[in-house]
Amino acid sequence: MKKDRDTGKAYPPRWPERLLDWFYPGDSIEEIQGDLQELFQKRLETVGPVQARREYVLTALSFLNPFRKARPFPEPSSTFFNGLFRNQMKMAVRTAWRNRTYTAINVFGLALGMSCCLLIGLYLLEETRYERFWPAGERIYRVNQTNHFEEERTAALVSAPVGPALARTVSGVEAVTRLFSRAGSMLFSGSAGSSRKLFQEEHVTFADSSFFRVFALPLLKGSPNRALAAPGSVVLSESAARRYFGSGNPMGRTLRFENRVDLTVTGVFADLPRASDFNYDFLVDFETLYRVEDPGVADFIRTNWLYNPTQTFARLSPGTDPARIEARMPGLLRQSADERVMKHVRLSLQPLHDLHLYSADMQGSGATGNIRYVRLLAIIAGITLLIACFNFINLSTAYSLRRAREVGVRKVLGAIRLQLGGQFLGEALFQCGVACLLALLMAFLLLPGLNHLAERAFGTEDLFRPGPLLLWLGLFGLTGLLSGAYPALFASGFRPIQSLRGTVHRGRQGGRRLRQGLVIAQFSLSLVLMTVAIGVYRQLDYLRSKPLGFQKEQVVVVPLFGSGGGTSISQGVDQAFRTRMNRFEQAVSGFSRIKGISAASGTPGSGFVRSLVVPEGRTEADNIFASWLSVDYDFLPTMNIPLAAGRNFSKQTGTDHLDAYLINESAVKAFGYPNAAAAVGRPIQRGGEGGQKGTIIGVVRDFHFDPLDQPIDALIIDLRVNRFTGFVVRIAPERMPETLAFLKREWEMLFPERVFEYSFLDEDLNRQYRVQEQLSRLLTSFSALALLISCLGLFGLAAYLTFSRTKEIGIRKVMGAGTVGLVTLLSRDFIRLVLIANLVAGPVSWLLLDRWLADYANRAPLTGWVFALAGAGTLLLAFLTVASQTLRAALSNPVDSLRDL
Amino acid sequence: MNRTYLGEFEELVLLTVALLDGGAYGITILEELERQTGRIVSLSAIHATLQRLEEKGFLHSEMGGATAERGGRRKRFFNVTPAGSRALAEIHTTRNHLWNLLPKTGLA
Repeated sequence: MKKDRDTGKAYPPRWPERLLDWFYPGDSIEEIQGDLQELFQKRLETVGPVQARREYVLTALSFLNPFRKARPFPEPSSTFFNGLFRNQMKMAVRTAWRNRTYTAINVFGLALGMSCCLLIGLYLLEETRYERFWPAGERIYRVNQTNHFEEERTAALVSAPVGPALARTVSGVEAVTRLFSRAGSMLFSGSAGSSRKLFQEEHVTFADSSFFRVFALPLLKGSPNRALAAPGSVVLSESAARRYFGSGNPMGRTLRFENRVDLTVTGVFADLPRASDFNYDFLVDFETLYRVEDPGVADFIRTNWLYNPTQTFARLSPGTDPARIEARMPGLLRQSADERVMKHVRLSLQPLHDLHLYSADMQGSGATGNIRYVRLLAIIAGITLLIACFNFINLSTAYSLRRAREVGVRKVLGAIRLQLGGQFLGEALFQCGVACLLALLMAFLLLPGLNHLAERAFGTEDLFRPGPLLLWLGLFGLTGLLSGAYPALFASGFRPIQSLRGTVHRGRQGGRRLRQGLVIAQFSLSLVLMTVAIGVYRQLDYLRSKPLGFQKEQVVVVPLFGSGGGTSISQGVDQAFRTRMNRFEQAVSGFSRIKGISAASGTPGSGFVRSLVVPEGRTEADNIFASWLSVDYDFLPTMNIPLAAGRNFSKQTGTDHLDAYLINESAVKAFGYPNAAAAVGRPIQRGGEGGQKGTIIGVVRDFHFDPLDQPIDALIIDLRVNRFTGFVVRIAPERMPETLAFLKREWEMLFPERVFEYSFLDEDLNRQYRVQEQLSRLLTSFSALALLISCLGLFGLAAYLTFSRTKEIGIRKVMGAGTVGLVTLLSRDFIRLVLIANLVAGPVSWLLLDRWLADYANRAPLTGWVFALAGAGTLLLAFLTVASQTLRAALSNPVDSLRDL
Repeated sequence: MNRTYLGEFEELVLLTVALLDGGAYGITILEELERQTGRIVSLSAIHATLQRLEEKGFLHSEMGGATAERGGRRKRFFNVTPAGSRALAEIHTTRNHLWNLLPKTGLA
């Protein structure tokens, strides 16, 4: 008889139990085995061991019915929720609530950082999506031209003969189109049902008929094959069509351009998406361009290989390597039979998708993006997020010290480190999740701010596109792990004995070193941002307020042929037009509030065309270039530009308009004269062979006609009437609107075919610094934000550390410590950290600013007070933040803090 | 109400669980059934029926009460749910009604 050795009791055979273990499905094995065992024990007493055993085996086997339905295992989540997880959730909510200040700071700081990232991300995502909508856009390239005369300069423009030559002679090129952009007046003389309309259009683009084979722009009306085939065709954007023809059918209607040619509407295309730098509203067939321009100019454009006014796009056949096409370019340029072109010009291809971000420095690219700013913004976003994460790590580790006992108890009860780590990480993720939702709300509220800063028009719906949403999720994961991982590792590592005894702080410094390091890092980053922001603002202020050497206030610029972008070339002021200009000048100069008026080829500030100059004793081969301005007799007095030597142009001599030149002081130096007076009366020639020979009659004082990032170039001024593009009018500061109205009235009487336009010179000049202004605004906003987040963190940390020293403060007070002494004692550590941050940030920001300023010929000196201001400001802010906490502790009654000791 | 069919054996087991009032698990149900009906019942049949009744919503179970004679294993205790009592009551009423309709001279 089998009996248990210890109890002396009989026991059933083991194997049926095994069998059940292996084969019995579902979740009822425990009670079945228990019941079997219990039954066996009962039967043992009534029927004896042999029978009991037999029954046991039979009953056990009867359970192994293959058709039995298994008792389903309970839902895992239900015990999960009821058990550990529920408890952890409860703890998370309780601790979050108990430390509400800390939780709020944590979540708010993180949300701020995240919303910044989200907004910047939104902006950057759009920047990288420019021109992506074009069908087969990856096969479209722009031909760029690099000229190498005195220095290398790349332009997005090439000469007009390049396009057709490329299409004709290079294989692998499917289609080529040239785009020539030009401003001009557009007149719809009206018809039955619609009225006369005259607008000055900034972007009238002349394109080859192959345009639609390069850019597969869908046409709402008209056929892409025929739209630009006939001379005098125009294809309108939908919005332009509406502007001129309202809801009527535009097809077949006629528009008169520049009062010279009639254009027939042959098609309408849908307005381009927002993410495009192409801004044309009118596409006119290219041949018509030659009818708009004067015959001489038209011929020049058509045949000259050096003058580059057109953007040229090529669509390559699939699988064509652009490098192979580029290799054919020198051969292509040989068709020009022009020595200078072959020697000094290089053509290259730029992918369509790169246009927006990678052609900011190219002349005539019209790109509104700049990869430098994209990178800068990405870095700023990263810094803000990093600072917010540092906050989170700092506060989480500090406050987890308060929960050392909880960790200890959990460990004693058998929790393993992984579980505890999971718990803390889970709490971090939970707070992150809340921050994420808050960030979305903040991003929504801050969207108008972004639109203002970046000059965009984002709507709420843009936040919920797949890209930003993905970014949002990514941010959640990234910040959650980044800021949750270390605190989880830290808190789950408390030793149970130490934590239960309450000696965690002493045992391992409580992560103090790390916290200090993070605070230093945070403040260093904020300080760098702040200092750079101040430096950039100062430079901008310097640029805007620097005296330029001519009068820029109260000067009105009135363009003769309309303002606007695109390629402005000589419009040809002929004799008849000159007479009308003179009549206008006479009519206007009689008015008492008009102090002066003169015509010129350009206005100072945005630079002039450069021309080859041959001074006395030099040859053409010396390649001396100077900026070239053509002005009327009254230009210098109107603009208040003083003479250094010699005389101004004079009508009395009768020959000044043929052979007189003025140069500036820089030109005196460049041409090798010892002083201004020595240059007067010397011969000079503008242009190369067959250029205009003449005499220097006077020297003007240097003035800044280029943007201020460039030094003052040599300048040559002549009196060529046909280059004039506009008037400059100096007016009295009083009653300006009336003066302007007067100008408009006179203008419309003498130039009825042209729209009267005007701008103020000082505003035009300031507009050049828009990029710097945008940068300055951006840096100011984000550095303020970074500092705010850093101070939030410091506040939380100071609150925690002061709280944990409450008893010490009480004892010190009882012993006779004063308030000032206590505040100093408690604040000292923090202030020390900010001071160290100052030491780190100073040199870094100096280097950054110095590099940025290196691009400017005229720079505001980097003085110490920029750094001192940023440093002192930050220090003060940090002190106030900390003092708000320490002062409260120092003023509290020691009885309260010591009572429960 | 959702009328769920209740088999004869199911009804017996359900009634026994109600009878045992909280103390119902495999062995007690087996013993009580054998004692009250005199049938020899298989333990596996009882377990299968209990599980089926629980699926139908007439019973509710929870684990507890490990003893040494069970090798330290817990029992699965069964309780009648409100749906279960309602089903029992309904069967009872129906039968009573039918019995009352039976002519006196008949069976009884």
